[in-house]
Amino acid sequence: MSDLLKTGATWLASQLKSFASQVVTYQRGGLSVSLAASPASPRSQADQNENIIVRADDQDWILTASDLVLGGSQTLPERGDKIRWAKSSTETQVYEVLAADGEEHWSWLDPHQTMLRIHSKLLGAE
Amino acid sequence: MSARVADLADAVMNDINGQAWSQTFAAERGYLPRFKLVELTTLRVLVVPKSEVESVASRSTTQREFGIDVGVLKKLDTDDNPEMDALVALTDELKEHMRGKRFSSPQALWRGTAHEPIYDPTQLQENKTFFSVITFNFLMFN
Repeated sequence: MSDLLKTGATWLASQLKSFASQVVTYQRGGLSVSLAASPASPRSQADQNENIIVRADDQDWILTASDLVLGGSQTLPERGDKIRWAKSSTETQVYEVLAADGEEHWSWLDPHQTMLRIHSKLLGAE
Repeated sequence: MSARVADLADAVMNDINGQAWSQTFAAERGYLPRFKLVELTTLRVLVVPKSEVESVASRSTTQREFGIDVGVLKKLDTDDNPEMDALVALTDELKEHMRGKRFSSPQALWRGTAHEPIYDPTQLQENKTFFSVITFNFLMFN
């Protein structure tokens, strides 16, 4: 008997990739891969320590786990990985994979481990 | 007439900027300074007035104790120890320098230093940023 939920998760991943994604470059050291990722939940988060405030521009990304292949091997996100998004012809935004709100820097989106959600923070633009 | 605590914070900032340190920076003074993460790729040292406690020193004099925060902030490139070690060492240099400090304008005398925590673990975990605040306490009499 087919697993309806697993089929649904795979379908959703393909729909997200086809209709709601951006091409980004996922980078770890000297390794990189171009893949389709859906930007999700952009938000600004401020942390205050005593009387100094640091504000980070957070960006989550949803992508198909099997697309994350570096150096010929499928891998999982690591803290410090970079995501480069050519937001326009003149601006590429650079994000760093980092934890947010006490959570890990990434998590599975579905029980079948088809899609994953990655937390990142804006480092700057190139 | 300017606020005493602002004058003292200026004196602390100018004193810091008049010294040579193991890392290059220019200390800035502010009230509730705000930074975006992208602005912390260069080392920031901030001087911020924090507190004032006034009490009787004698029948004719008043003692004021001021707290001045000095924040050291830097977005880290790596998770490696040497980058953090260098910043922790800078906070040690600042503490060493201020110990026993006596300012002439305004007249103020170092009373003590508080540095806890040595760095903010949440900033380190979530923003990969070294964020350390040292509070220097100074006494003024009048």
